[in-house]
Amino acid sequence: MWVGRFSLLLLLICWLPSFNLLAGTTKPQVQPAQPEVFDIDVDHVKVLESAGSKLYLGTSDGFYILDTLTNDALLLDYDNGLISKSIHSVTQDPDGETLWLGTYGGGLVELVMQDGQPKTEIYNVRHGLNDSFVYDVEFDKAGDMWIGTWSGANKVSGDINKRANWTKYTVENTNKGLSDDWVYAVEIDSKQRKWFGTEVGISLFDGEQWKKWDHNDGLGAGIDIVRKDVHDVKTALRGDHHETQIAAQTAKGANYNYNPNYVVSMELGPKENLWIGTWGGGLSLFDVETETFTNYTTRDGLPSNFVLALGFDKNGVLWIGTIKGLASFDGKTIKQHYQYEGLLSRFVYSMTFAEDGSFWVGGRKGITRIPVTAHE
Amino acid sequence: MNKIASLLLSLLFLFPVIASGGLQESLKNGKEIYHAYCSVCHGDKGDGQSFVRNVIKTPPLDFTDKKLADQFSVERMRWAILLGKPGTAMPAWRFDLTLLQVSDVITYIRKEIMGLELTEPVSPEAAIYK
Repeated sequence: MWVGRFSLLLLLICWLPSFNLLAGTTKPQVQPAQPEVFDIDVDHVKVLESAGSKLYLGTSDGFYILDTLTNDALLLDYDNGLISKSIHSVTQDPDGETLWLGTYGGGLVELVMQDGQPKTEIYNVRHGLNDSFVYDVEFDKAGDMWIGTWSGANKVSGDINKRANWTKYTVENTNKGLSDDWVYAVEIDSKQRKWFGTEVGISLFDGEQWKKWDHNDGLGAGIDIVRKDVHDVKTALRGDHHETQIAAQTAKGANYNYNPNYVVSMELGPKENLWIGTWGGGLSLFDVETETFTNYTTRDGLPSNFVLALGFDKNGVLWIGTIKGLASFDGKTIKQHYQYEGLLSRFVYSMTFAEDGSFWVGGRKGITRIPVTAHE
Repeated sequence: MNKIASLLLSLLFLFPVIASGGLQESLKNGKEIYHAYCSVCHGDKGDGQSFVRNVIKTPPLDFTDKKLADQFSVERMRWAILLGKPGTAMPAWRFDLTLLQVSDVITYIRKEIMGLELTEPVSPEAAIYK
């Protein structure tokens, strides 16, 4: 249904000099141009994707298509056939007509607009999907769809309605080549190799062989480096699987929350190295040639060692969303941005760069457009 | 024969029915299956308290609700697991679980979560034969 125009709150933010309050220092921050804050009354904008003048938002309240020229918005939720209104991924099909939504508990949703109306089809376990929790979808050059779920990865080749076209990859059937069945991120490099970010490290599938790396290989900073930052961070991670993985990385009775193996975010960089945001272990750069990790933490200038979102702008600058705000990394220096001002919350879940140069940031309570001049 | 009966019969032929072990073995297997397939929605304790309950159209059932035990027969649970519940987040597990696995998880849910008295595991043979 169309929900009308977004309430555009052009917050008259006074850009007083900001300071790194969280780190307890008085290091001046980069001052942006005035951002626009869109009050869309949604929680947890976990996905942001830009497509021309359209902006796709995956939230905990449904999927929004925002026309950034008119501010008209279309909301997809239960009324449009979704079973889950929590959207974790959105991917454009190579056909250019179809969007694929990964949902939390509601399977994989195929979305096509027909005469201005959304048409949805849900794919779930009975079709061949590993489970109903879909965290990422990517297409390779052959047109095959690769899906990350909480029960391993799927590949779909050809007609999605034929169960025989679905292939499952699990810890068990890959002989532990896949690090963990909880797959949060899928990346495909120019060699068409598939990278999987899981809760127990990263895995690489070249079409025949599997390789994997974890904290023992250097993924994520050690607890001695991040102990102060992760101390007393309240976790949203509950359930046997999360707790087992965290317990494996923490001392018994420890009052901190830390799993450097947990790939919360993952992005292939311009040089095809892998950038990995971890849960408490900071930002990890994996050099795919030397197969070595370099870790960046609050000691290097990150706002937090819990890294939720990553994205590269057109200049190759890496933008980093954390639980304590936004940072950028030009390869030499990490700068912190807008820890409180402009962003609607300190939690930065998502980001995207629009064709007009605008930089959109999604957080716990809405989205912010940061003009091009602000981040260049 | 109507379509539903035909479907049920065809399902029975699709799944090999393996003789079940004792109650303890069934409970052990059922617990593993529950935590692999069910707890993410129905909660580790079976009370429906999970993150997903707030974002799906129909909240997952609370198996600890005493009223549920009266309403949900073994057969109703069996077909819900095998065929799913259309229009809800309950998936159809018929391609992923054998009839024996389904029976084991029902055994676990009914005894350990619903607190029902069971002296033997739920039979993997569907009631259509009975």
